[in-house]
Amino acid sequence: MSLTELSQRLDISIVNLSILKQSKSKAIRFSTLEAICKVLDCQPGEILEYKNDS
Amino acid sequence: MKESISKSKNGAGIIIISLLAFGAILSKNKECLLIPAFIITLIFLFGILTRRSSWSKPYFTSKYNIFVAKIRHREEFDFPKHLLFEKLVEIMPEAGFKIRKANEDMGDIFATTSLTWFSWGENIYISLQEVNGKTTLDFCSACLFQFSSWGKNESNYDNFMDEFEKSLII
Repeated sequence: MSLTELSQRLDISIVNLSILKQSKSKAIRFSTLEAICKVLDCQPGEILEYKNDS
Repeated sequence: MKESISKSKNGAGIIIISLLAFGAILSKNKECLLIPAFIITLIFLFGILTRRSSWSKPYFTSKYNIFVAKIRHREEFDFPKHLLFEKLVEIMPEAGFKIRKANEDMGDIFATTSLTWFSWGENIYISLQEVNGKTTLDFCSACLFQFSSWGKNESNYDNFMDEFEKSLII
């Protein structure tokens, strides 16, 4: 699925999706996370990863 | 809500001119009101010429121009330039700025703010430069004809940064 198609299905702008994809966002709402998981049919753990900055 | 506030502030200029015109009609000594009315008309004409296009940028942003109150800020973001540009174009209206010109190739955005009781309006100049994957943002808010912005330039910058930070919560 392309970013454009995902943007249309989620009703989130491509800019915001790009920011999420590049991990430049400061926070993500639960509603957004839920919508992404619903569209991609996945679990939050499959799209989120913890990285230790140090 | 910000749009309704902006519209009501736009009405400030109309009220001022209406009062002057009404006063000129009623006043016995009409000449005393003609000069300020003429000056205000000139200011509006100058504002119309300079606020619709970006040709006036060197005049307003020049550090040698002491007749225009201005502030400058420089920030660095860990964003690619094209992404930051699109994000800024998205958030500028929310911050109360009307985009007049936006050039993605040059990384320039020119916007204006509306007339208020304390200010004739400001011109906002933003330029983006990308170096090694990071983007430097130069922000300049300049009043049209004032030595002091009464804090308006600073609040423009604060609004801009607040909206940008809020927009990163997706």
